[in-house]
Amino acid sequence: MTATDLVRVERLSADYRDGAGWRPVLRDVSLTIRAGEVLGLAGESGSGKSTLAALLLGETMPERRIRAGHVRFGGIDLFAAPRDTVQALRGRRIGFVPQNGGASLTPTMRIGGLLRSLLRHHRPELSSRDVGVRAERVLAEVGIPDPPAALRRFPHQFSGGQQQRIALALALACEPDLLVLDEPTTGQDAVIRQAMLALLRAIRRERHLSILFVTHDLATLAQLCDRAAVMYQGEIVETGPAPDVIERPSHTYTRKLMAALPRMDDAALADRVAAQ
Amino acid sequence: MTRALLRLIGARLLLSGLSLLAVSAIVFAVMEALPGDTAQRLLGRDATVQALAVLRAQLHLEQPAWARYGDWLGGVLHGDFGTSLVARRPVLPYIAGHFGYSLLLGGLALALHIPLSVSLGLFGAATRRDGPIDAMISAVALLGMSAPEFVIGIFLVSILATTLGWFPPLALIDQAHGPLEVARTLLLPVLTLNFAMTAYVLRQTRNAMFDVLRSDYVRLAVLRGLPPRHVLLRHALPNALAPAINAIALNAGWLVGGIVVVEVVFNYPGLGRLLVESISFHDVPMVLGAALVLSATYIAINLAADVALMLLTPKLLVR
Repeated sequence: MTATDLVRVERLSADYRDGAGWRPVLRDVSLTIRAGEVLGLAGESGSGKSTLAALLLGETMPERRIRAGHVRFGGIDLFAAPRDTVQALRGRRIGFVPQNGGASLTPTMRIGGLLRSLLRHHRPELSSRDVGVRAERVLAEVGIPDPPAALRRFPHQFSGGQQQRIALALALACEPDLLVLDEPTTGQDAVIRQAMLALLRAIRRERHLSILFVTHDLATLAQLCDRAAVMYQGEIVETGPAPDVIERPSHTYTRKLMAALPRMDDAALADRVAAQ
Repeated sequence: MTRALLRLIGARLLLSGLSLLAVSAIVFAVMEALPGDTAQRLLGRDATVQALAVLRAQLHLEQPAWARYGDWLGGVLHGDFGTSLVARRPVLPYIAGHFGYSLLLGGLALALHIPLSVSLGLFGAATRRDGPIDAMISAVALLGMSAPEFVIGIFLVSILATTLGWFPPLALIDQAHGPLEVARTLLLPVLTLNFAMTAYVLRQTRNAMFDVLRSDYVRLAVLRGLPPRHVLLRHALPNALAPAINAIALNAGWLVGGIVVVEVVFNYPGLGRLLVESISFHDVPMVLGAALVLSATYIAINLAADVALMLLTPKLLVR
């Protein structure tokens, strides 16, 4: 580990309440994300990858408990630090995009209300004029057409793909150091998925932030990530440079995940989207 | 943005005219179907045939039903709601006076009902689901909902008025002096109505708030670092209120009928009691007028609720 590690997950074990008892969901997980690095986290549903993503934001809930280990963000232990300290990191230094971006947008609030209240809370030094300018700029950055009009609209007035982009804009608005993406392309068709990946590559180029990209789809890892980690039944079974993990998988589970990949068409699509 | 709202209001106002026409026809037909008439009620069983005939002629009761209904309807269209067959004076001032009292009682009942049941529902949602506090609130509220309001009213009267003597057993508001005495006479009927109404709104609010607090958007509002107060007031509450407003509207509609029973129990001089008395005297113009005002109130309550719902639900307001 080096001084440039932004996130350090140290021997983390967590349980999930399952009916009567506790079921382990993470077993002795260690992981680092360096400043400016894009780490892909792959695994099938139930492997614990979404839990790990949520714990990077220090999220606590009654049906989950930390049994052992630490999550450190910029040196701060998220499960030992005061609640206010953690809450100040969320949204400000750590942006989170959930799988269903549309459902993450409060239906009774306009896009402008969502973005502006977030900016005003985390960046109180900004004038209301600057808040408006930033809100428009971040919507333009994620490819929402006509940002001034979009700010006046409600979430349901956008398509699913656009809602996902707005969720991304909310995660990016306060210029975080880390972006946690929990399956942001799952459940979308191939064209929208490729457009989202192209957008994420562009954001990465412009912003120099760190990204944790959670997916069950190894093919998308290859298009975006520097390093990849593979999870299986709550454990990290393989980590390494993304091309190595994908082309020369050492763990039998990774080989099985790779073998399940059908997607020649995705690579072709990626080229088409890139050409546009 | 307001186009959908204006369209809703316009359509409802058009429909409400037809509804009121239908109500008046049905009420008139039912009154005709009831045995006896005003002349018989006023003169009693021992009245001679001649006396009955004279009174019937004075009251125009010998005309066929369709002609009397037509006369009444023509009058209404010109703003004349007819003359009471019993008091022999225009019905409108009577109805207005009694309606004012009913509006006061119903308004006070709602003014207590809305904050009480919504905040109890929110409080229930803030405690552990099906925990002891949540279960206790639900049990008391359900008891109030399952007992008929005349039972609750009589129960409250026998304890708080007859046994303890804290409140008057009858709500004789027309004899009360000063706001304090008015409040004392109104308290028991207001409580009775609230006992009957609270459970439904409370449970709707509680369930909606439970769901909203577990929603993706509330989770994300927290994970975006927003303070708890902001998450509750801006993200959670507005989304939990829509189901609550539906329940409140149903209760307010129920109140139009429930108030009739409570007014009779407490001998309160409202429109409901006037309606019941007028029916027993076969005073058709008075019954029609009172029924129309109650129906119009019902329609207005529902329209107000739908407008509020639309204002709270952007999906309905803008497409």
